[in-house]
Amino acid sequence: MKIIKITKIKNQIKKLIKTASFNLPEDITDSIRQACSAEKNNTAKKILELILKNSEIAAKKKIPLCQDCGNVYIDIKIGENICIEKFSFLQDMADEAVAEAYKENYLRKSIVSDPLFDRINTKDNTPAYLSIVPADTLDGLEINVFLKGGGSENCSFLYMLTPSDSADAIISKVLDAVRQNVTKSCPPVIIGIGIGATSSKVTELARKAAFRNLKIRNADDKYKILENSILEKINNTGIGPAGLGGMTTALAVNIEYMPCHMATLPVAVSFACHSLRRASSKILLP
Amino acid sequence: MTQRLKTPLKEDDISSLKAGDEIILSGIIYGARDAAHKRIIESINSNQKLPFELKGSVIFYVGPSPVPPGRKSGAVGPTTSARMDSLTEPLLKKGLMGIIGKGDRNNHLRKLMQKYKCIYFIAPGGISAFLASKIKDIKEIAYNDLGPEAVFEIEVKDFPLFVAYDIQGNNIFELALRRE
Repeated sequence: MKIIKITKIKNQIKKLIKTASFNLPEDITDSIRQACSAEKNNTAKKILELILKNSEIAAKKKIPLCQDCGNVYIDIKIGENICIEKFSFLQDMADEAVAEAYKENYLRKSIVSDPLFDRINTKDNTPAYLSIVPADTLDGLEINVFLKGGGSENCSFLYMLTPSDSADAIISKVLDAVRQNVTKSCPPVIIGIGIGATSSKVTELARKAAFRNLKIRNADDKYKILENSILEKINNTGIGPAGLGGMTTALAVNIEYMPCHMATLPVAVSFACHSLRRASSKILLP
Repeated sequence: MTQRLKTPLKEDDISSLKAGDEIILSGIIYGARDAAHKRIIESINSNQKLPFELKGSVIFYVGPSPVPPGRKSGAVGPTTSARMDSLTEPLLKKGLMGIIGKGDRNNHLRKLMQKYKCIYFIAPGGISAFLASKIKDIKEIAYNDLGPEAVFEIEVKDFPLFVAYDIQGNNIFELALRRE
């Protein structure tokens, strides 16, 4: 059994929050650059250029990419024979990491304590949304941090379709969701779609899909074709960056799927804004 | 067409603006979003003093990130306007003349904006480090307990915007789709 100190995980989380807040991932900047050179609409081109310029300023001056510094999702994958010292304090430790990172880096604290009645700001952006996943091929630990803003979070949808529905039903739900909501998020967006599992699990799949590296396409050809077809239809709407017209409404459509009950076809959609904040690192103990 | 505007706005400034126009705005604007709107409306309803004069003012739907030492501003950018659709009419009645946000809003609100002659501007979302470079000064002036949802007085210079709804009832989001 190999032991990982909980403080080591905390320091990694703090580092990842900082990286994600100030640095747009390379797959996103590459995709925006490509979209920018393909755009024929001048306003769209200009906005895509501003997004790239924004990422340069954020990295150089350490000003957050977006004023909405987000909810913090932390996914930790734990490999074989790994033991986290003081494991039962993992949530407390994650919250401490978030509170310290948000204070030290002048990030906005956006979480309110009671969701309905008091809505008092927790002033430290906690709690973190922590999930732990076993990973048998990993010699150590992998930490993934995702920061998701409220505007895009509000554009999240769950549809319990029926098994007789086809891919067309999903296409039509996603297109409606985009047409009605995308300007409330920050287009160009990344659309994450979860298919299968259960009503609660499928929204998790959609969130993971929204944060998936844009260079990774679905390994299954049928789903890959569906991803491409939905992307094309979204970009044919002409909504464009900031909703001001153009062919870049979405940068990607990512699908993640799982088996589901024979009576169900759960589908969830999650929007991620162009200011996609994710960072990942491994603590290896070979 | 690109036009320069200065706050506070006057009716002459906005009557000729057209949806789709690019605007470069300078002067004082007021940051206020969800929770601040609720308090402003409570104050209006109970005839209490408001944190700032609404007549001719421009409200920016923003919750800025904290100002790091040695800088004039943290990150600033528009939040989703549609959440304020049901919280806007009392402010329009008091003479609010401009709103800065992001995204399309509901039909009812669009009609109210036209009725009370208030321009809806949008700034592209998620370019908040860039927009920070257009801020000369930012200070919290009311409801400090709300944290990022407090009311902020923000001095902007050459702040880049688009006219989204003009007072003739044109809508940039519909025009953008028609042009495609």
